[in-house]
This record gives sequence, C-alpha cells and structure tokens, in this order.
Amino acid sequence: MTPENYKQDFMLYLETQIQSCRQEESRLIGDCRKDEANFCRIRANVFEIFKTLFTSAQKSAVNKSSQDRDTEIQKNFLNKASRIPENWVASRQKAEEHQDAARLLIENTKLQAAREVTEQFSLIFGRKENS
Amino acid sequence: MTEEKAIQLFKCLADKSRLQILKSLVTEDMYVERLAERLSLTPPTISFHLKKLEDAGAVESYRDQYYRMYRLKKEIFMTTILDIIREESGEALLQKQREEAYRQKVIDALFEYGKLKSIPAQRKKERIVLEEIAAAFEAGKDYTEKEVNLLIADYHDDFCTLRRDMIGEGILERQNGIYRLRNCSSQT
Repeated sequence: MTPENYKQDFMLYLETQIQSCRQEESRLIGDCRKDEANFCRIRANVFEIFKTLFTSAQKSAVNKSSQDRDTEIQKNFLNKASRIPENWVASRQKAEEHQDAARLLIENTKLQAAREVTEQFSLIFGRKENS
Repeated sequence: MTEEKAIQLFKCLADKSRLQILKSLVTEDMYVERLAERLSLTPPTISFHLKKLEDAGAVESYRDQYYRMYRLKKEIFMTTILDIIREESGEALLQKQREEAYRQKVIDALFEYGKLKSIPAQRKKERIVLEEIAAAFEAGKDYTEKEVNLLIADYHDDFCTLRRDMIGEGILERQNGIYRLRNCSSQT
C-alpha cells in the first residue's frame, strides 16, 4: 500500500462517517427525534473539522521531500487534533460542575467523535508504519 | 399552568424518545439504565431527555437506595388542553395591569379625600369616575332617586349630572323611578 492509499483511506473513513451521521440525522428528524438528530449533526461537524485539519496538514507538508512529507503530515495532524478537544474538555468540566446534562452530552459527543478519529488515524497510519 | 410552562411542556413532548420514556414511566418508576435498555438508547441520552422532562415538570426524581428513580408527575397530565387555553395569558395580564394603573392615576388626579374635584370632560375619564362612584352602591339593591342623589352628593355637588351620566353610561338602570346597579359589570 502506498502512502497515498493511507491518506485516501483516512479521508474515506472521515467522509463515510460524515455521510453516515447525516443520514442518521435525517432519519431521526423523520422519526420526530430532533434532539438526538442534533447530536448526529454535532458528530458530523466534528468529523468535518478533522477532515479540514487533515487537508490542511497535507497542504502544509507539500514543500517537504516525499520521504519527510508523510511524517510531517502525521505530526501536523496529531498536533492540531490533540489541541482541538482541549476546549471541549474544559466545557465538559464546567457542565459537570453545573450538572448541565444537555451540555455534558454535547461535549461528550464531540469528545467521543474526536477519540474515534484519532484512534482510526493511529490504526491506519500504524498499519503504514508496520508494513 | 402558565403560558410559558405550557409551551415548554408541549415542546418537550414533541419528541418520540421522550414520549417513549413517559410511556415507560406510566407503568412504573424507573432508573436511567433501565430506561436506556428498554428504549435502546445510551444512558447519557436518557439523562438528557429526563432533564428536559424534569424541567418541563413532566417527571420528578427521588433516591431509592443506589438508584435515582424517575416517576411521572401525573397531575400535570390531568390538566386538559382546554384548561391551558383558558388560562389567562401573561400579555393579557400585563394589559390588565396597565389599565388598572391608568385607572388609579385618573382616580388619584380627580378625587381628593374622597371628593370629586371636577367632572372630567373626557368620556373615558368620566367613565372611570362614574365606576368609582358606583362602588358606593350595593349590587341588586333598589334605590329611590333621593337615595341616589344623596350617595352621589357625597362625591360631588352636581349629583344631577352624575346621576344622568350613570344612566347614560349604563352603570345604573332606572325603572319606574327606582334605580339599581346594572349587572354589577362596572365593578372591576
């Protein structure tokens, strides 16, 4: 598998997740479950954010030699991906303190989606390292 | 139930998952994990919906050993939609308060130590003055013209004008020389 394939795999994963969240959102709206549909939209938004991050990480590594490029992409992406949820963690902490069930669920939804993305990233790019 | 509370409740009920939760709770009190299992939703999602239901006054919780149990607030669901519609709206109440404030202002300006200073030219203000004087009359009681004059004279010397105006405004009615308050509608 070439490095390009790994990148495509990861992008495909993100796009599939976005699409699946959007479909689930529509289904829930049709089933009169608007609040749960909102949580699907929140998940989709998180995947969108990470998709943008990954695209940006690829662009910023474009001047690197082909050998260093993939390492740079991974470094850039993981660096940004670890910083993004910091605010969500802080917000969740506040929600816990104020027993705000709605905010808590929103922040947990975002953090769960972020965790899934980084795990999938490690899985795909870990395969690359081991191959 | 206030208008705001009714809106919050209706909004809250317009959700299938929340309706399913209520359907479960109508049979017996339950805790979050049990509801989650029954409805195939995650416990945080159930907690989220229960919070909304609790805020809307549809459910309440209590501690039972290790569990926080939720139960339906049945009295809320005994309220009919007709009861809610009949409830006076906040805006109507506000309008009434404004009217009452205006009425009090007119009375304060035109009466001094219980006496009418002058008969106002403006019909709206005179109506308020006449209604204030009508408070001295007993509902359902018959009065002779002399008794009416004496009652009105406590407020102003020109009792003839005021008596005639009270008839004209439909506050008093006269039949065969006998006066009485009309339907008590003037009293607010």
